[in-house]
Amino acid sequence: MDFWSFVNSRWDKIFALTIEHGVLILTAMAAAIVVGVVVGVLITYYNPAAHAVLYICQILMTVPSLAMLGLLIPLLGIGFWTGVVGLILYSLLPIVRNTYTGIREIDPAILEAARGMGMNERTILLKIKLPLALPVIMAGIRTATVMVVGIGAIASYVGAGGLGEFIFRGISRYNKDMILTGAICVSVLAIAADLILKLVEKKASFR
Amino acid sequence: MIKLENVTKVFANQETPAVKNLNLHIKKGEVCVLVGPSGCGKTTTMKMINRLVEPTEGTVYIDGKDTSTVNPIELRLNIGYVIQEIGLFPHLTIAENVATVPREKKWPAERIRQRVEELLNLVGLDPQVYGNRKPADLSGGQRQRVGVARAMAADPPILLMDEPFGAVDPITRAKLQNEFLRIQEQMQKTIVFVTHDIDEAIKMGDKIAVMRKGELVQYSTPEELLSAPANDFVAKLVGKNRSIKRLHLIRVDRVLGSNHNVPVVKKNTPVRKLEELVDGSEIGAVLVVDERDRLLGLASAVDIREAGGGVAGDIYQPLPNTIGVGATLSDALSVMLNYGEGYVAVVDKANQLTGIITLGFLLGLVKEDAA
Repeated sequence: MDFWSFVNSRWDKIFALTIEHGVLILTAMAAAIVVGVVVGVLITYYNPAAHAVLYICQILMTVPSLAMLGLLIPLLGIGFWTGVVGLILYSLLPIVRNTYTGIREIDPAILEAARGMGMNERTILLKIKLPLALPVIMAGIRTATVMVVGIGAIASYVGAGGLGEFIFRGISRYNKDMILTGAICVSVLAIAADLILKLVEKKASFR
Repeated sequence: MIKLENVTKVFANQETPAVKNLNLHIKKGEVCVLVGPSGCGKTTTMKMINRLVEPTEGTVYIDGKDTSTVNPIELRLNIGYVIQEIGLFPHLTIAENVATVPREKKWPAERIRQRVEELLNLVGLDPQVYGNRKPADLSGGQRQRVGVARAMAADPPILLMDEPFGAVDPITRAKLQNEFLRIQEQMQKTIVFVTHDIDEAIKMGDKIAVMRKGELVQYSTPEELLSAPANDFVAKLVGKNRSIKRLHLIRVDRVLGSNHNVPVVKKNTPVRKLEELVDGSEIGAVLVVDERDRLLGLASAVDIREAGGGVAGDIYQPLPNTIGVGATLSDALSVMLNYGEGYVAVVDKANQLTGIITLGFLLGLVKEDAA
């Protein structure tokens, strides 16, 4: 069992890289959620901009991840933050789109009633629109997170660290155990993120 | 209370105005029903009162104040608003829904709690049972009640209601209408009520504004509308069997005091005085009431002649054919038919005599229509 002896001997490294990967994902997602939700909310107030913004986000997501990270290197150099910015750009589309759709799909009667009763736009947004759109927004965040865990592995190419290091180093050294360890850890991380966020999503639902 | 002056609304990208040069004056405590086919501008007119729609021309006054000078949020917080789809907030409990406006007005928590309880009781929903439920757990009729409770939460003097009972089945609707009339009797709010259903308009309205293509066609009481439709459009809207409708829809208290000829006497009136009075009576009898106008019964011409002396209080006979003030003319007719008498006495809750409906009067109404 070469694989288990590898895991046993590198336990501290595996742990350190998993933490690093987690920090990368959490940093990127925290920023992406703030930016994505704010942009998603703003474009509900101005429809023509919505189409343009969603189109741009779509393009960002279409660019191959390796190319995207490569494009960022001339601007930001190599390192953790280059990876973070790349991941943010990647995760924008699901969050912006779901925020936008979640708000747009609220029953217009609910909003008319709120307005007719004299609630101001700020209160309507905070107390009505966002809570009602929350399940949809959460679904977008989940999609983005799972995706970003995977792409985060590629980000180690630009020096962002994380479990990608195992995979890439393993490939260059033709060390199967190393590749396997990295791949399994990334997968477990993605599945765990998915399960946890699924629970949060369920909690966010008001029904 | 509410006054619309030369109000016109032209929506962007539309040539024909949705509302054309409308003038409407709604008095305090009145239910004004805006009625007409879809697209006639009734909802637009209503929404111009709380500025959900801004008039293109003209002015809306509330209590003499030009509403365009009032902050719309401030304005709306003091005008109750109910729509057909109700628009309850699905993520909030029933109690939280009802508390919406008081919360916006920053009432203290305890006052809000009391008010919510009071309102849920008023609309017939036990606050202990329903307060913590979500709108999805309620039936359509119950949700409508919550909608009405929510609109009245901060006790606004004005209520705007857009087809508030439109989305429920006919039986529930009739029940909600009756309950609403009962509540309105206590509350005396100024209400603008939009409907496409002329029967509902006649039942609910103190005044009815018939609209067509953005213009006001007729503005009158339900009785006038039924007896004297302004033109063919109104006549058609009201329908062919207007006379029967009137009997079904007009409440007796609306027509009391009009033309009947039945003397009413206090119980201490001497009998010889009754002899003169009974001759002029349409029903060959006089009604006898006590010192506080409570109905005691009637004394017929025969009773009076046979008595020869004494006072009215000695000779009256109890009168079984009475109805309450809330009954309709058709209720009155069926009481007459049941007792085989051509009249029915109308009494209020305290059994005070408030009037008499005679067969002659009903026939007069029907004949008016036929003419």
